[in-house]
This record gives sequence, C-alpha cells and structure tokens, in this order.
Amino acid sequence: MRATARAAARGAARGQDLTTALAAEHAAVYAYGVIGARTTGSLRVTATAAFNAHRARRDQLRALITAGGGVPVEPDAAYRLPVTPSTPAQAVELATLVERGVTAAYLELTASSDASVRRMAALAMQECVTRSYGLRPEIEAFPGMPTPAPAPSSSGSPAPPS
Amino acid sequence: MRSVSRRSLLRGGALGVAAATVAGCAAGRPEPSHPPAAEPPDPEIMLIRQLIAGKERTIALYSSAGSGKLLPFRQRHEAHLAELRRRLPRETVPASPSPSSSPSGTPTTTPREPVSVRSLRDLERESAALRPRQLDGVSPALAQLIASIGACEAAHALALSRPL
Repeated sequence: MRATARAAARGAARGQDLTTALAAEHAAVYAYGVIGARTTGSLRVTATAAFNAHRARRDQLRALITAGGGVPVEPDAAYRLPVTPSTPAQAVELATLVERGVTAAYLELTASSDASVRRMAALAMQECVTRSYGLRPEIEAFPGMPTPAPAPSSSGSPAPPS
Repeated sequence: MRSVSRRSLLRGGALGVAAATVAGCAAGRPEPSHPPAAEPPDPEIMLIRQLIAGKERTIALYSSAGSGKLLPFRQRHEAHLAELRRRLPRETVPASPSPSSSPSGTPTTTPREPVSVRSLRDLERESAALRPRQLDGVSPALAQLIASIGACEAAHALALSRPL
C-alpha cells in the first residue's frame, strides 16, 4: 500500500509539473499572438515562428497529460501581460519575459521521474533560450534558475545559483 | 511478562554467544589472498567528474582562443565548473586549482594552437546536444543543473554562429 501511495504521489507530482509547463505554454501562445498582431516585418515573422513553436510544445504537453490519465488545463480567456507591446522594443521585452518564464517552467520538469519527460523539457529549455537570444543577445550562465546569488569569488565570473 | 522477558534475554544471550563463536571462528581463519572489493563508484559522482573534466577542457580552449570577446563565454563555463565542483562531496573534490585561479590565468592544459571560433561553436553545439541524454537516472537537482548548463551552451552555439 505504501509503495502504491508513493507511486501515486510521484505520478501526481509529475502531473503537476506537466500542468505548470502547459500553463506556461498557454500563456506564451497568448502573448505571441498579441506580439504578432502588434508588430510588422521581421519581428512579426519571428513572433509567428515562436507562436508556432510554443503551440507545438503545448500540444505535446497536452498529449502527455492525457496519456497519463490526467486532464490538461485549459488556457485562460485572457492574460494580464507584464508589458503592452506598443513598440518593437516593448514587443522584444515581452517576448524575452515570456521565454524566461517558460524556461523556468521547463526547468521544473527536468526534475521529473520520467526520463523521456526530462529530455523533452531540457530540449524545450534550449529552444526557449535560443529564441530569446535571437530577440535579445543576452546569455545567462544558468537559464531557468532563480536569480543568482553573489559571486563566491572576486574573479568577476557570473555567480552560480544558490 | 517477566518470564518472557527473562527468556528473551537468555535467548539473546545464547545468540550473542553463538555470534561471538562464529566471529571467533572467522577471525581464526587465514586472511583471503585478495583484498575485499572496493565500493562501486557512485554513478552520479562519476558523471559530475566527467562534466568537470569536460568543462576544464572547454575553458582551456577558450583561454587559448585569446579573444577578449570570448571572455564572457569562458566566465560562464567557469561558473558551471564552480557549481559542478560544489556538487561533489568534500572528500572527492580534485585538488587541482581551477583554470582561472592559476597565476597566469591560463590552465596548464591550454592547447598549443589557437582554436577557431568555429571549433568552439561546434563544441558548444555538441555539448548542448549531449545534455538531455545525461539526465537519465541522476538526482532531480543535478538534472536541473545539467539542463540549465545545456541551455546556456545552446545559446553559446547560436552566439558563436554570428559575428562577435
């Protein structure tokens, strides 16, 4: 009975991580829909590609949850965006915030007990980070991790996560 | 209750004597010709050591490239290295200093020939591609660290495919 309970708890935790990632993808799809509608030219092309990529990951997560016997969370009717993309700079700001949030959600999923889910989440993280770099060429040493602690030495290196 | 307790004690005492006798017999035997097998290495520690060795090589390559524009890349790898070393148990941390802590700032394993940006890009790409496959069977915390490092390496590969 205890083993069964532990297995159920692991399954529930995995389901919760998948749900968190799915919720993040729902929000990303919404945000990129807004960005695409408010931009032109190459930025719109980039936003459309990102929209399609997040939609594909969203569908993959939905399928995983359904296959595990869960019920995928539905998207909200609307999302409160941290930035209203009225200018290209604001569109980039919003897109990079979205990518950062989705990266963090997938980082949680890389701790899954399911090896295939771990691999999928790690690949999704790489996609988010490279998309973000395409919009704004900035690189973090530990994408997805919480805000880094102060550097342990005076070498000037970026600090590892706490 | 009391009699049961006494019986238990007696039984325990008898077993104790028997165990001591067996142990005494064992102690009286000659030593085996080969030493007892060593503890099998912890696969997670082995993986961390492997990752550390890879990071040290990568840092050495960046050091030999000699371009100031590549310094932030090297520094991020040094941050990865520091975090990986932090995950090792204290007694297993290698005694060798980190490449950045050597007096010249150049590791002893620095290649003789300067490396090209293209080769660094290829290295980053290969490393990033390897990370998702290294997550199987490791602790959740290490899986997250490796995945995060892989994401950084993927960004490096993209950055190095563009003019610096």
